[in-house]
Amino acid sequence: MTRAVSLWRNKKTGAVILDAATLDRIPYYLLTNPPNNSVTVSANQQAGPIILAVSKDGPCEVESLIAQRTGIASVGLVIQDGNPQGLPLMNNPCHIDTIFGSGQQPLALPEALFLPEGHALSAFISDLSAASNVVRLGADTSRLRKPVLDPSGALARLAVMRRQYISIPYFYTFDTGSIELTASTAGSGNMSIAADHNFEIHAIAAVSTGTFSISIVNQSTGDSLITAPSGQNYEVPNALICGSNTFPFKLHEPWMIGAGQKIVVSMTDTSAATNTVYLTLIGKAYRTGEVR
Amino acid sequence: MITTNRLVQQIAPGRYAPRAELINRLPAFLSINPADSVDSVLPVAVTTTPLMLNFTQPNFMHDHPSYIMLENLVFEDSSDGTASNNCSIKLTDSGYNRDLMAYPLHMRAIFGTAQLPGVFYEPLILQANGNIRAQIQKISGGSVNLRPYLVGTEFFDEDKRVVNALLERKKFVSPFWLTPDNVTLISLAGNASANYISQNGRGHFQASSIVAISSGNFSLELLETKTNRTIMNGAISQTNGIGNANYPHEFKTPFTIPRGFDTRWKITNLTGSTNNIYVALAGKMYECPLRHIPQVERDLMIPYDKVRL
Repeated sequence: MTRAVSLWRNKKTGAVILDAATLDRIPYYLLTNPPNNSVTVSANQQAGPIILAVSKDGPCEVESLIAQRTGIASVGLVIQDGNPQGLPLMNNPCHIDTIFGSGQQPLALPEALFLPEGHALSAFISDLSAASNVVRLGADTSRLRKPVLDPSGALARLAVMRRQYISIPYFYTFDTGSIELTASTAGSGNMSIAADHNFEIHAIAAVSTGTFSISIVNQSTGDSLITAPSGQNYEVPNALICGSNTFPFKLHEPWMIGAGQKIVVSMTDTSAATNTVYLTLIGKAYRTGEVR
Repeated sequence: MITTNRLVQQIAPGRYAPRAELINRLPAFLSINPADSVDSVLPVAVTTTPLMLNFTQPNFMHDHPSYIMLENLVFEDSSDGTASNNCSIKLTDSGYNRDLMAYPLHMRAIFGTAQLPGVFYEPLILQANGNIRAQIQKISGGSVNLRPYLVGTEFFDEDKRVVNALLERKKFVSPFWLTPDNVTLISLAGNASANYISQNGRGHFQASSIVAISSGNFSLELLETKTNRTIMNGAISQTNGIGNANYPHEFKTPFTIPRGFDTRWKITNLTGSTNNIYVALAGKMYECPLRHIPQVERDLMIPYDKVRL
C-alpha cells in the first residue's frame, strides 16, 4: 500500500520541507529481462527459465504479481539466489490465473519477498491453451535505492536480509498439478507439504472448466475447512470458497499446516462434463530447516 | 450548532459527549453549479469547444461558514457501463489558481462510480465560495448526459484548529495528475510508438498510482530523464501494469519526481488499429523544498522540528 510521507515543518521559522528520503524508495515493476518483456510460448510447449533479475541499483521487495497473457498457462517460480537449484516458491507450477493478477487488480502476496541486488525470480511457463501464447509476467515491488543519508535504512536492510528465508510467500497446488474430474463424479487431489517448512494458508484461488463442489481437509490432523453441524465434512460449491487471481478468497484466519502433513481436497463435478480443476492455496512457508 | 452540541452533551454525557463533534460534519456531494446545469445533468455532445463549468462550495450552511474536504470523484452518464463516454476533463482549483492536471484526462481515468469511486490522493479542502473549475470536452461518440460529483466531508462550525491545519497544509500540498505534455489526446496508429515528455516545474510530484483509459492495449516505459531513474526494467502493458479510476494501479511506495525533473513516456500501441490513449500518474504535488532531514539539521546546527502537517 501507498505509505504516507511526512511533510516536515520548523516551528520557529515556519519553513516546510519534504523529506528527501522519499527519493531512496521507489515503486518498481520487476519484469522479465528486456528484450523479452513479452514471451511467446508455443502451443503446449514450455518456455524458461524466464529471468526477472534485480539489477545492482538496489534491492526489491516483491509485493504483488501481475501478468497479461493471450491464453491459459501454468507458471513455476523459483528464486535465483546464487544457489544452484534455487529456492522454489511453489510445490508445482500453478495456473497463471491463480497466482498473477492484472494491472487493475494485482495479486497481493501474503508477505513481501525481499530480493537483494543480483538475485532474480525465474519463471517456467507451460502453455495450456494449445495455441501460441504471448505472456507478460511482472511483479510490483518497492525498491530501496542506495541510502544516502539514512543509516537506519542500512540497519533495516540487514534485518530483512536475515529473515528473508525464514518465511516466504508460497503457493501449493495439487501434487499432480491439476485434477480432471469425470462428469458428475467425485474425485480427490492431494497437496503434500514439504518437510522443510510449515505452510500457512491465507487465500484460495482456482480455475476450472466447469463447476464443482469441494472440501479441504488436513489428513494428518483431521481439521477441515468446512465443518457441518453434524461434525461431518460437507462439500460446498466452488463459487463459495474458490476465489480468483483478482479476488482470491481470503481466509478469515490463516490456517497453519505442519511440515510433512498432507492436505486432501475432495471434489465432485457439478457441470455434467469433464472438468479440469487447477486449485492454488496462497500462503506463507515458514522454513524449519537450515536457513540460508 | 454550538447549542446543539451542548444539548447532546446534556442528554448523552460521558462517553457519548465527544460524538457531538460529528454533528459538525456531514458527508457531502458537491455538484455542478445550478447556473451551469439543470439538476446536475450536463448534456454533452462532440464539440471542438470545451464546456466550462464549476463546482462551488456554498457560502453559508446552517448559519455557519462551510468548508468541504473533497476525497472522491464519481460520475454517471446516460450510457454508463460502456466505454463510449469519451469525455476528457481538466480540473482547476480556481481560488488558488492551481491546475490539478496540466492537460485533460479521460473522465474514466479519474472519475469512478459509487461502488469504486475515483480518489483524490490528497484531500482537497474548499472554503466557503471555493470553486473547482472543470473543462469538459466530448471527444467522440454520441451525446450523453453527464452527472459528475465531487464527494467528501462538509464542515460546519468545525474546530478552527482543524480547519486551519488543513488550510495550512493546502498551501503546500495539492492533488495532481501528471500527464504527458502538449497532448490533448494521444492517438497512435496501429503498432506505432512515440515518446512524450512531462515537464514538472511546479513542485515535487509524488505519484501514488498509474491510471489510463485507451481504445486498445498499449505498452509503456517511464523514465525520469535527469537521473535516468526508472520504475521498470522494461515495458509494462496496460493490461498487466496500469489501472483506471475504479481500480487504480497503486504503487507499493510513492514515486517522487523532484521539481524540474522531466519524465519521458514511451508509449507503443500493441494493437493493429488506431489507439486513443489517456494515461497519467496520480498523486500529489508538494510545493516546498526537498531536503534530507539530517542534512538540514547539520546546516542549521539545531534539530529540525518534526511537525507533521
